[in-house]
Amino acid sequence: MKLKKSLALALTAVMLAGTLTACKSSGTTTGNESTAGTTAVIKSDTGESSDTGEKKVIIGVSADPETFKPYSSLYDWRYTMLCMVYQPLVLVSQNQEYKVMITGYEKVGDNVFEVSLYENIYDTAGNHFTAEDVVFSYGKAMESGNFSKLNSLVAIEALDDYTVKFTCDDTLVSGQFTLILSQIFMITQAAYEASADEMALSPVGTTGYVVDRYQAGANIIFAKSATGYWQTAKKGEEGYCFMFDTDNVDIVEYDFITESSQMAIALQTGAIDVASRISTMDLTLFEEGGEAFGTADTYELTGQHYTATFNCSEDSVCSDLNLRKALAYSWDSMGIVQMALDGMGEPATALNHNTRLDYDSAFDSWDYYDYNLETAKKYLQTYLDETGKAAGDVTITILVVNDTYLQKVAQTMQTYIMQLGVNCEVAAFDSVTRKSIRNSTEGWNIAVAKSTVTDQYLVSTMDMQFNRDKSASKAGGWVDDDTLQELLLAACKEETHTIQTVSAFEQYMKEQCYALGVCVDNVYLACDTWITELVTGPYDMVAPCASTYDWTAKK
Amino acid sequence: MKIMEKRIRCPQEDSRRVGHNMNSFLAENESMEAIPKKQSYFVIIMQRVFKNPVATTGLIVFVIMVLLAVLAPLIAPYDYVEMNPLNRFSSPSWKHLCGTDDFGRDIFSRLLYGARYSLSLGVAAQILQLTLGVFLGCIAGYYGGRTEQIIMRACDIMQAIPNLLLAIIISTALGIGFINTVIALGVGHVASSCRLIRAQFLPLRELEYVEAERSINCSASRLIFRHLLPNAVSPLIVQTTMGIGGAITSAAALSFLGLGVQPPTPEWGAMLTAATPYIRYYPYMIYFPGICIAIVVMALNLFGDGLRDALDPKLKQ
Amino acid sequence: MKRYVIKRILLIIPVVIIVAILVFTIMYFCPGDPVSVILGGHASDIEIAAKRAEMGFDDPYILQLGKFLFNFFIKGDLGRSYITDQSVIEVIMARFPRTLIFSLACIILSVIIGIPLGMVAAVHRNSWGDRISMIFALIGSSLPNFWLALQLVIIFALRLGWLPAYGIGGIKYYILPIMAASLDGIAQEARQTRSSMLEVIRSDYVTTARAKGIPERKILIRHVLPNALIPVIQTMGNIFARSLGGALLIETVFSIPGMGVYLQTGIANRDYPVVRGSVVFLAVVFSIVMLLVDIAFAYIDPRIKAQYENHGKKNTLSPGRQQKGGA
Repeated sequence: MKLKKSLALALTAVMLAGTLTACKSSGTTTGNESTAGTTAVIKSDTGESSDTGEKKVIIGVSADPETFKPYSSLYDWRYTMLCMVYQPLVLVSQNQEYKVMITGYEKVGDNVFEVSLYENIYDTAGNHFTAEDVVFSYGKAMESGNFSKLNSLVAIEALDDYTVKFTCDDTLVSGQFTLILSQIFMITQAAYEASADEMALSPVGTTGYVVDRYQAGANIIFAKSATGYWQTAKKGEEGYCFMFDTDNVDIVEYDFITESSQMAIALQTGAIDVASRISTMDLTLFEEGGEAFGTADTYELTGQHYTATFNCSEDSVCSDLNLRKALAYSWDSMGIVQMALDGMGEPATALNHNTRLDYDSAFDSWDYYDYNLETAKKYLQTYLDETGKAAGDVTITILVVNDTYLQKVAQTMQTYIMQLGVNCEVAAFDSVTRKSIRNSTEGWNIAVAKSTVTDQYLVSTMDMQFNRDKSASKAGGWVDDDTLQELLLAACKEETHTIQTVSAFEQYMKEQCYALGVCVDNVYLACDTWITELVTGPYDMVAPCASTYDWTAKK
Repeated sequence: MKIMEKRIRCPQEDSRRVGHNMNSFLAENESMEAIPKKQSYFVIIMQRVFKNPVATTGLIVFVIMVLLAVLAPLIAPYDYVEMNPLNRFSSPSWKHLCGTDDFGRDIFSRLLYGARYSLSLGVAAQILQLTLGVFLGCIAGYYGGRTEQIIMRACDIMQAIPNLLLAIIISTALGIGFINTVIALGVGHVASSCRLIRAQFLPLRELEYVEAERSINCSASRLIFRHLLPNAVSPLIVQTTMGIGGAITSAAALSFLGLGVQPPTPEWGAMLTAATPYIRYYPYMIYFPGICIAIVVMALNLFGDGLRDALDPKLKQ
Repeated sequence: MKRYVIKRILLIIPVVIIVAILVFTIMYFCPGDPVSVILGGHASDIEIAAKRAEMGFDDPYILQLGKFLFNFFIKGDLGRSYITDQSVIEVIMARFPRTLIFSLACIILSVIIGIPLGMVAAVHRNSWGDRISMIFALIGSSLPNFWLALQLVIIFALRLGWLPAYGIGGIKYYILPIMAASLDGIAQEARQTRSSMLEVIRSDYVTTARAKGIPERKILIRHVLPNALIPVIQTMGNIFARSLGGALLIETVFSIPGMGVYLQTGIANRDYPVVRGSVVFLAVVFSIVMLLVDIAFAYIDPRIKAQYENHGKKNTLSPGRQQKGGA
């Protein structure tokens, strides 16, 4: 009896504790809730979804930005989400440049630019945005140290209320100034200083939207700001930017769905209206023959480029050109696309996307180490003869991050390479460990990585990855080749940036086989059919303000 | 405190007075003098296990799986690395008993080869956990007092550190490889085994026959191994046999540290993980490795039950 | 008994300090650091070196350890995440209740379902009831978690539409995740209960009780179960421990912002304050749970309670204490 009582008491206590903590967290609010402090909102949200006739769309994304600080490290999708509240001076999306807050910019000297602002910019707290605020914003961004593109920016000065002078140094490459203008969000000094937490939870920007509610790890809801949007230009008029249109939607909710299979299920159950990424397998659900055919529209976009970089340092067997060529001829990019990407992609023919503006169309048809086992074996034999080794003595290590598709690409490459009779291992690690191995000269021979779609030009990626004066890969496996550096600088400098110089660089890279493109994958989005047109912005992420919706068709 | 004290055999006559457990059935065999006690004890236990048909079945099934793993090169119809782009995702058929995976490789062959790694990793990790856990738990349970507190608090500390961290530091400090993987898998759970044994010892410490044995100068190790442990070990058998499935799947989770098995080498846990994007479309890719793991867990559990029954002195054999 | 509890509570302090030191040291020796994550993909060597020095990673180990311990325990400052700059303690306070609800729900379910299941199996040993419930338990613990979670989502959220597939909110958001997470615990408890009861059921005092004519049910509940409960409760503690920091899979599948994902992301990003703060916090919770388990033992078995009250001195087996010149 005593035992029963005690047990019962203990259980009750435990359940009570559980219920109390559950009540404290009360499901819909958390400690990290946005306080909507200095910003005015059109309506304060208390319940779950508010469909009182308001135009609302729910988008599923894979991760939480975690903070709204404008100058925290930016990941691709964070940038687009933050574009709901902040604006950069210029927007770069799908290789096009859009002037957002500026009427124009011009080069006034060597690496010196003058930028003219609109005069009627206000943020959602009502502060007037002027050139001083531009200087302040860039100052804060440089302070954070998170933007390597700003390294070329030497000085920034407000010439008058609406004109800013940017002075850069010689390290500026072609197209980089546009990136400088597009990567940094603009805030007013007044709002920033008024914010208690550097705008971590209650951002004040110059768009027409504010954060209505933020549940860390669960969702964000953006709603229209009471102060309206300063840009009154409509579609087709001067000054209009599709990304910041305020006429299409009133409330945007982003739900964080960390599991990719759940994204498709959420779309099917109606919990979300737009799936910002669905896997190639889940795509088949919405296509003909799939169980959900007709319930959603799917969009295909060119995704990321997989690059294989060789470790050309003395510690690696890949310092030998013959071996590199043997390896390059041994794998079939088409086969890799078939097996690793489920056929949803294309073989690569250069060091980055063919969507770049300075991509030479001749690249599409040149011999880019097309699969040829005989040639591969020939080069391998040359290598073995020169070094006196046997095929079985050679071990190639492929280094990747433990991402599903990268690992599959690596495994497929491994099978191909093993056809040569050499040993081949796949080393898949977590991101930080992989980086530390990649930056060293040992432990890897081929590194396969995805490069994100960032910029308009090939040269910005080239500069980032292969410029030995800038690149971190200098530490690990990079060869000191003066010719390469010369060609790179020729291609990157704005005066000499032409398709010919870019082509010369790519040609040389190909001949020396320092790094090769492997394949390009596709990314897929899906949305409910009542969304008449889903528009994507930078980084192939959904631009909810730009998309058009048929609200009457929404269930 | 010395565990291995001077060996003094507990006199046979006294055991009759005590009347409980081991000595009661050992006393049945009067020719005990000639045969070393340890061996006969083990043999007797095993004989009891074999009398139990269910347990024997479990053991046989497990042995069959081990044999299949060992004979994999002879039995497997295909090479486990052989990729076949034209034959991806083919359903189970006579040609491919378990179908093919996303690379066109035959799943049945991969399961056979995978058995080598999964069985050895899973069983070795559990044995490590069992051995260390029993050792620490016995010391804590037997000596009590400050020793027990220290060991139990050390268990608290060990269990508070996430397994992932432990695995990272093991792979960093010791490197990769089979033994280090086993250590990484087993060491995190030693504390739970230790606690179980110590918990079992708590009430046993008070039993009269234990006091009696002590009073006749029975050594600590004899006391522990002959009298206390057989009574205490049964929950541990359950925990160990049920934990093998978890150990096998954990091995896959560690592969990104370089531990465990690297592709393309097959391993059941890794096959499960690799099949996750395809669960809705090609479910057989997850059924077959899952069934293999389930069979091993079931077989060992049945055997474990039989072992527990055999160790239980109260059961009329 | 009170003295024992107080002593155990005091012992939590050194345990937590040691855990903090261990976690710090492990993260110190882990390869890689958060700088590359903070600075993004393509920072140059110079930038990385500068940032490292700025963040104090180049200081000697002892100095870093000292600073950490001072800030952590004396100032009580758990720090801010290197990546998001959010206060660690605030995030833990927001996330921990969710993880706690899971862990508690798993234990409660394993008690409500697992123990009776095990009892039934033990009482009707070798009958069909026993076989079926044990097969159920074995299947439950062998099922791949991910598959189970996804199947539950497909059945209940997609096909039937009864429950939401992911997210947080009211009670209905917790049902599927708890179902997926607790199956393993139920299976373990069922097996442990059965095993443990089978042992006790054959004891002499049970035979005596039967001979006295006491009804079977009373025997089960009053005589058998309490004595069988010790490993069962210990297993409960172990399950709780494992689920505290480790419901990672469930949290990922159901997009629940809990401690599992927080800790995992912190480790992956080498976000030291996050990892240290979370682990130490969980260590405290864990120690308290283990204390509760030990207290439960005392209530079940008066002999154990006596041990605690005598500080375990009197009734140990160490020969040295009782007899001089032991063996």
